[in-house]
Amino acid sequence: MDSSEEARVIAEVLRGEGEAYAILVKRYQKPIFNLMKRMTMSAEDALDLSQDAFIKAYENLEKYSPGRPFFPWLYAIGLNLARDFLRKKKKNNLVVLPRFEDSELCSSSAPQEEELLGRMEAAEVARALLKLSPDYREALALRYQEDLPLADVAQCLGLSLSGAKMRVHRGLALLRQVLLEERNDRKTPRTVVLRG
Amino acid sequence: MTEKHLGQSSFAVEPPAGERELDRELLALSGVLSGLPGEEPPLELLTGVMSRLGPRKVSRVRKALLWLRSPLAVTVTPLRAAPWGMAAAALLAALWFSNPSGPPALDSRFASVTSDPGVNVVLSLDLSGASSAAVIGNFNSWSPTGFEMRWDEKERRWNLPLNLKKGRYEYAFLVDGKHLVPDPAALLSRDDGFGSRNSVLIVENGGGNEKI
Repeated sequence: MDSSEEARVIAEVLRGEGEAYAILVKRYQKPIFNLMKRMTMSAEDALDLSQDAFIKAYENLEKYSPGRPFFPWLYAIGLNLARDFLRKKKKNNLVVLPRFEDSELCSSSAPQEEELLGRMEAAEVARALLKLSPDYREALALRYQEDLPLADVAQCLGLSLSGAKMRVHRGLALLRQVLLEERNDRKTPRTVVLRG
Repeated sequence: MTEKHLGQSSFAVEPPAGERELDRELLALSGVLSGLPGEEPPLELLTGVMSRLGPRKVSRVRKALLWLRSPLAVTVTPLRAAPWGMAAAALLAALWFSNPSGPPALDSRFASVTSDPGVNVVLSLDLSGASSAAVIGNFNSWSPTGFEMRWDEKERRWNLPLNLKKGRYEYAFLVDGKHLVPDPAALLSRDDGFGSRNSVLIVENGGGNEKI
């Protein structure tokens, strides 16, 4: 669906034809669901939050600026809902997964002794992606999995174009580091000490 | 690539091998990321959203304003349109006069409810016990005449190919001439005001054939 088709559907919804909204839901439910799944690690929470995101977008459709792409606007609503959800969870002392942050990047950009090239399993990369902080993880997911242009990535994340570019580049470097560290961990033999 | 200037000459210097290696790794990593499939959302996501949508109260004035502001996809300039317009008129005239029975028909496999080119869809019903089935809806004034479904022995299903313009349609299956059955495969439905439900079909510009 191109942007003019999208604008027509939105205009129909705003005129009171609520059922036309199904077209937008069908179009964007997969990326929104995957966003929520990445944020919450729970299919049940992801389903609830995805529905909440679409309902909130529907209720605030008058605030959407026609002429601009719809998905980044919808995505930003979804991301904020997910962040609020996680903040409440943290407040209730529920488990929060550790995340790799920018400060953990090596100061040198030279590759470590061990090369990452060779077989990079998709599952391995998908697991490593989930270890990044949401800021970097979402930048990579939007740019590469959803194949959005950088301008749309910037709009989704509330960044400037150069900010989005930087976020994606750093995110890739951080992901690489996570993968290397995981491989190093697997190779290092573990010593188990049994105390009698 | 970096450049080093030595006096009056300059030459390009290759980045260190380590940096090239890093670039290749990051490129490969972005390729793997692009190939990650993502998870399909559960069916109840769409139905859950649509069942929670509240009515939207829109005043007549706002409706009119929104209609006036709705974009129309028209791309034409008078200079470009004129020769094509004349050619199209000449072609239509030639076709009309050469075919006494009228303008050429659309693909006859698809019962057309519109003279404009639409989207080919196939409505399908899995009900082997029925002796007849037809489709009635707001696209055929709720009349089954001409919209009788055909039994497909191979698929063991009743099928009716339709050509529909982009839009939203309500319909139901009329089984054995008397029983109204909503489409079990339809994701959306609507109260028909008579105690049962109509199935809702939303046709987009698919550009191809869709089986429902």
